[in-house]
Amino acid sequence: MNTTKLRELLMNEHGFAFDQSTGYTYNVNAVGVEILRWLKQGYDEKTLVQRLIAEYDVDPVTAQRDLDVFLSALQRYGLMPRNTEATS
Amino acid sequence: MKHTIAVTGLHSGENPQPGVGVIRSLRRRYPDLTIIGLVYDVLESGIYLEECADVVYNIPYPAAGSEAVLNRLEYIHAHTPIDVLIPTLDAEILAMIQLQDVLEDSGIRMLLPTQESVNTRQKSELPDLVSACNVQTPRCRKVVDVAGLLAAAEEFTYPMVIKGPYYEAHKVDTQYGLLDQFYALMGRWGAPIILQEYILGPEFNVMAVGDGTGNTAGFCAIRKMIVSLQGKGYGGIVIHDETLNAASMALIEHLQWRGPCELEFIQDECDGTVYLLEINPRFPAWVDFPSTFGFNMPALVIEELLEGGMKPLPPCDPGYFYIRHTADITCRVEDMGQLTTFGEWECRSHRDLPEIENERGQHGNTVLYTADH
Repeated sequence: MNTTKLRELLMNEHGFAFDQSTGYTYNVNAVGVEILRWLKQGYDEKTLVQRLIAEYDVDPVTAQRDLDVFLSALQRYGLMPRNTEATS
Repeated sequence: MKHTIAVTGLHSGENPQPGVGVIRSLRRRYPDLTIIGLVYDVLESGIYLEECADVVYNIPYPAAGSEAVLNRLEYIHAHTPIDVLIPTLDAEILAMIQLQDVLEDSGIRMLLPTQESVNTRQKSELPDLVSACNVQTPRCRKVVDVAGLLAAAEEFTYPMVIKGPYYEAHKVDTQYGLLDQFYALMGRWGAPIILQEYILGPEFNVMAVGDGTGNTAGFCAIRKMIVSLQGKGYGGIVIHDETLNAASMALIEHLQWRGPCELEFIQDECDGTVYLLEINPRFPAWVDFPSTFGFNMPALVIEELLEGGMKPLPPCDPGYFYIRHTADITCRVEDMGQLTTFGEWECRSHRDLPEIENERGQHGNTVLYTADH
């Protein structure tokens, strides 16, 4: 997954994030903070699902569904390229 | 520093002028400056603001002609010698460029662009400018009469934007609205009127001070967070965006801009294209905001004109933001009377006024007139 833009995102431990290039700010919940940290570390989608299952005691279907929703929100806000634009 | 700086544009109403922000920034760096406020109207709000100007003089509008402006400045200079003059209003810049040499001979210095630079960035000339700088601008047509207006409107779809040559831009949704704004803008500002395609998306402003050789000594980019009904930025956050920076630098380099300027951009929310809307040949109203965290651009003007050269500022830190806040200022009618009658007024701090009791025994701070007035 292309996380170039995400790596430039400034975020505190409470989930308040600031995009320096657009000036937009975001609020992310605790699970979102974890996912963003994992994304910045370069985890792929399969690993992300496994981590969610392990850390939050959810079933695989729920983990995958919630991750899809979160990634799609990141794409909608221009923080990740859409699937068709993904290069890495 | 015991110098005297004259600043114009002290009104901070619905359409705030930059003068008060320029003065605040200068006082942050140089607390000992004497500040002269040059005003066109006794109701310019900054006249009565504490810790703003030390003395205020009225001056004639640029439309009165350069001789009238020069005569008044020479009078003021004879009474309160001016070292640097910082004009902050669009309509003043060309007039001041024409007076630049004669004022400099009198000892009044200004940091201004060339007349060619100013003319090249006029709203009506933007298409030629951007094509030379690999930047985009919304499609636009300049018109001088109703026939031309209606013909140009055929090339766009509603809504579209109609703009005056110096100030004001209005979104119009119908031909009635278009004609209404055309007559209003012609009456206020004259021709040419600019008709422009409407772009929807976030707006960005860049403030810079050019050195006249294509470089900048100070640069700050913001995204407007709050936009007033008049399109003014009532809140903004500092950003760092390479596309915006590159476009701004290319324009400033091409224009060989000398002195302060503000570049206004909009980004199409559909395809992300960044468009230049206009370049203003002076500081913006939000000029003092970056000064509060160390990026003092009015101080660069003083450095250049009185200290042998500007010391370039580092890139502005993203994340700071401002919100414009309005407040009521208590004024005294005799102060307005002094300025109205004599054209000049030495400001005093309201805190220096003795506190007195009114009829109810409550404390006020002044009596406007006594019975024998």
